[in-house]
Amino acid sequence: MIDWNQVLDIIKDQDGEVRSMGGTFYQNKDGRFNEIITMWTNAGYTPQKVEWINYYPGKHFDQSISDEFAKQVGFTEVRSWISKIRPGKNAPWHQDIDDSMEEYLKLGTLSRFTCHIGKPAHGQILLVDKESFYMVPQGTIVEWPEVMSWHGSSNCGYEDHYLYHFLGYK
Amino acid sequence: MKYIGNTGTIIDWQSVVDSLSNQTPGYVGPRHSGNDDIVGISDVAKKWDQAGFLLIKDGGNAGWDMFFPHANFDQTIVDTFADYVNVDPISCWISRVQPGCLTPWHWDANDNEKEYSTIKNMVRMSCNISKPQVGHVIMVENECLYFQEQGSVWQWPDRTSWHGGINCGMTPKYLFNFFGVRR
Repeated sequence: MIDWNQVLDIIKDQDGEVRSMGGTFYQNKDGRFNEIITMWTNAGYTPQKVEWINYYPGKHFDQSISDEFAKQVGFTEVRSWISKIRPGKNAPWHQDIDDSMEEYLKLGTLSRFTCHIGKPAHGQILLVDKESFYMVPQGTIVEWPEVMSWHGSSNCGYEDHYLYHFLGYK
Repeated sequence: MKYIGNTGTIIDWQSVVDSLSNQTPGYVGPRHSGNDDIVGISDVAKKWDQAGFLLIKDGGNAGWDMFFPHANFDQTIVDTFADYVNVDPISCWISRVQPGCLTPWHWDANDNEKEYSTIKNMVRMSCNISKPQVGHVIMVENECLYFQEQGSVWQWPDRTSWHGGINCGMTPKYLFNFFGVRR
């Protein structure tokens, strides 16, 4: 089993890779995310409101963590990462439109998982479609309804909110 | 939290929401600062500062709009709601959280906190008056309410329950807040 507290200890003092609405947005090389960014802008989002920080296996934490997770869920890893949302920040409603999604889909049947790797804390929430995940026990794994499910997250609590994300295929 | 029922058939909440959409709020919360002499305020303010929240008035996104009966919506709304839940109202308001804004974790330390703390049979309720929307959440202690039916009423564990709200959706989130004494 994965010792998530140990993983969090390793990444908590690292800068990670900040994502927001501007130049730090993940990928979007061909503009496939433009529609969502326009939607956010029209709703009043600004870079100050939008932020999550990503950490990647092999760079910020050990690849063995994702290898072990892949074994647990019985899927081959396509990509994985840990997200952090600081108090007061949001990941507005969106789909993860990965630049390489077409390539991933050729590998097989894709599934998306999220693991709640922090201890339950007030004010931290993940929303996927019409489901909410709040005060979820540490280590809980949930499989998403669809790989491309719409989702969002915010943190009105006092501590950083960490989630581990895994995209895999069978 | 305890589910009370749905007021959607006795109150036209959509008309209320529509009428508020173009109004100027009574004020933008939080109204108090950590220096105010109110029970609990300094503790909450200190926690917000330590967590790094930036208030709307300081250019951030921590804050909410406040609307009040008489000034912003009709008193008959309050009377109808009070009859439905069988509670004599002491205070009520409608809060609005804009997309990307939030209400950091807090409890509603009130101007009249010392007086209220002596009143028995006090109950606190909230009513989800927007249509169900993605990204709209209220959290009260260890529970959260998401994608709630318009008009759904929930009783809180306590008037002073810790709570917070977020809106990572695309539309403003409206909530009717109410507390009073059980009839």
